[in-house]
Amino acid sequence: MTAAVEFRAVTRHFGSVRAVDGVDLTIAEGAFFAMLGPSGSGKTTCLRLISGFEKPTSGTIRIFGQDVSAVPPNRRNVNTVFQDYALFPHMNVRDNVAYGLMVKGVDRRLRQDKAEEMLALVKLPGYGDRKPGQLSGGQRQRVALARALVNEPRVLLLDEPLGALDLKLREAMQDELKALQQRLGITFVFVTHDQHEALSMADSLAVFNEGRIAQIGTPEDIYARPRTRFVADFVGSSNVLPPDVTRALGGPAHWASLRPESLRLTFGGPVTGTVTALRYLGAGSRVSVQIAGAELAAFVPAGQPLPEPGASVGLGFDMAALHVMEGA
Amino acid sequence: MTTAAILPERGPGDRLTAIFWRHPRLLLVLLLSPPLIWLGLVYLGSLAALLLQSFYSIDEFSGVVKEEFTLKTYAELFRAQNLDIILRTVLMAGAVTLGCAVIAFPIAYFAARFARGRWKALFYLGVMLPLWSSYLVKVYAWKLILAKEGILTWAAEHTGTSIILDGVLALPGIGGNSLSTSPIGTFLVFVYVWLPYMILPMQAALERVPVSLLEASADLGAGRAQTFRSVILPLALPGVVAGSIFTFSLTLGDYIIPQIIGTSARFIGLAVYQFQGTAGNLPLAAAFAVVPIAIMLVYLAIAKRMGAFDAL
Repeated sequence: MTAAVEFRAVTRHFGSVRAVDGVDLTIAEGAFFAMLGPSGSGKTTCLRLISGFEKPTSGTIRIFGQDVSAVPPNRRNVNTVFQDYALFPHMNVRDNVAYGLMVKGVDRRLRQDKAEEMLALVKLPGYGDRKPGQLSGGQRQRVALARALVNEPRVLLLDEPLGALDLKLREAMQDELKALQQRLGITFVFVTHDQHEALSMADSLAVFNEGRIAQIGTPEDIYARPRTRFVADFVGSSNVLPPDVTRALGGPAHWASLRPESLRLTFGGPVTGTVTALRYLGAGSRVSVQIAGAELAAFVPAGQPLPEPGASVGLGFDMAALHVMEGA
Repeated sequence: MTTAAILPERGPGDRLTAIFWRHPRLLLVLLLSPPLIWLGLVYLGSLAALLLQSFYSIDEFSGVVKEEFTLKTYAELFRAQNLDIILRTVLMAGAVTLGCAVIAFPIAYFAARFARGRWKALFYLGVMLPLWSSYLVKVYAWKLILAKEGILTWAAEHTGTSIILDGVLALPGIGGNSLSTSPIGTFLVFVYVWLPYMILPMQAALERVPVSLLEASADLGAGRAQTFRSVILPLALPGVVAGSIFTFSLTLGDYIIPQIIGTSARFIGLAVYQFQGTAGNLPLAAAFAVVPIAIMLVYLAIAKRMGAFDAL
């Protein structure tokens, strides 16, 4: 099977800034692939390299096996859902959705029918006559999705598609996007800085840091077995343990990560510390414990007794939950 | 130690702020009334007086204005020689507007899309600089450039392109003895003088078009020309229309350039000037002055119908 998107030693420099610095990447056909990273990590530039809005300084990019280095955006069979949606304000929703077909020279009646079909797909039937300005953020997002899908691209790129939506809408859209991707079977590549979003939606993801890929793998891989401190830190709010703390907890003298939900508060035990802070999170509380010169967070599910700040508590965990990192 | 919940008043400024805070409308009224009085009384008032004059007529024997309502003066506008003036002016204004739009677009596009920092400052300087010098100086400078002994003819001779210049001047209707005495010359100078008024609103409109829209268009398969037609132009249209209102109405009303450069065939502005001055026919001058206003109203109505303001 050919890969949908392939990066080979791709770099993109802006002056002296290495936005993308030697990225190798293979995205399988039909995958829901996430590019996760903090802002400025190069994930958006990678997306724009696929769509053609950026040209690589060096390296090759292949889409379904074809080198696209010399192909402008309008000739790539790839479509984008833009972060700001980029709907044409002077056109109504139907014309926005049908734009790609209009460009292709599809007959007016045919493309309007197709646009209505796409609007129904994104659950906005009958909205064709409205202007983008009359829609809510969530509706605009759906129109942008319909517009990008109307050309039946082989790869759909989504640039922080849910960033501007409020929490509830975002969760609903996450489910819908996932369902849509499974139904259409198109390769989705989406960029996000939200680790929950990436973990819950993607079937594989790349974590970006300073223009490079820090780790690439399935959500389980990345969450449970972070390769570097950066990944452990960025994906989920994990405890990153310096070598001496790892040893104090009974592990090898190496950097390790330990999830807050793997830690149990006990009374007494081999490892004890002082509670420094409590944070209520709804489904439970995050308890910060000062231990061996480091601060560890433990997750206490709602309903269980909580210690007072300043109290001395013990920490219990499964040795298997202590993940020793190979990288620094 | 406790501090007071209300901080002490620090002088008349605070007192005024408090008054405006309690009566939010007051500030608005104070700010708006001077311009409204100006606009209402001085501007609209004189316009009404003008309109009134145009409905009077002149007694052909005594040359005295008869203050009776009549449409006779307007009928005079439709005389061949007067209609000629109107037609010539409108054609010139249309051509100048088109010329300005074509030249201004790339400049405005560059400024809106690519110019940053120092380049942007240079752009504004370049566009505004001609406005700093006197209009008359510029027009006379152009007369020298375009004259038969001028630099253009000289340059044409020395580059062997005289044949092109002669060919242009031989064009019937718009050609002439030299550029400075032909309608082409009038056109060139008009375009030069009004160009900034087209560039600035265009640039402002283009600046408001987000880059992501152009990317979206390309992403959906459109080439540059298609993106220009379907996205850039419709969104820049309010700016183009705003600019064209300037270039069009300024050309309609100007009476100096056609006097200095061109065939000395009359334009509306010149007709108004002559009728109210030497000829002493104030009603006809007024009727002539109403023509550009009427044309502008029609122009705006057409622009609105074409959807020029939809993107506002």
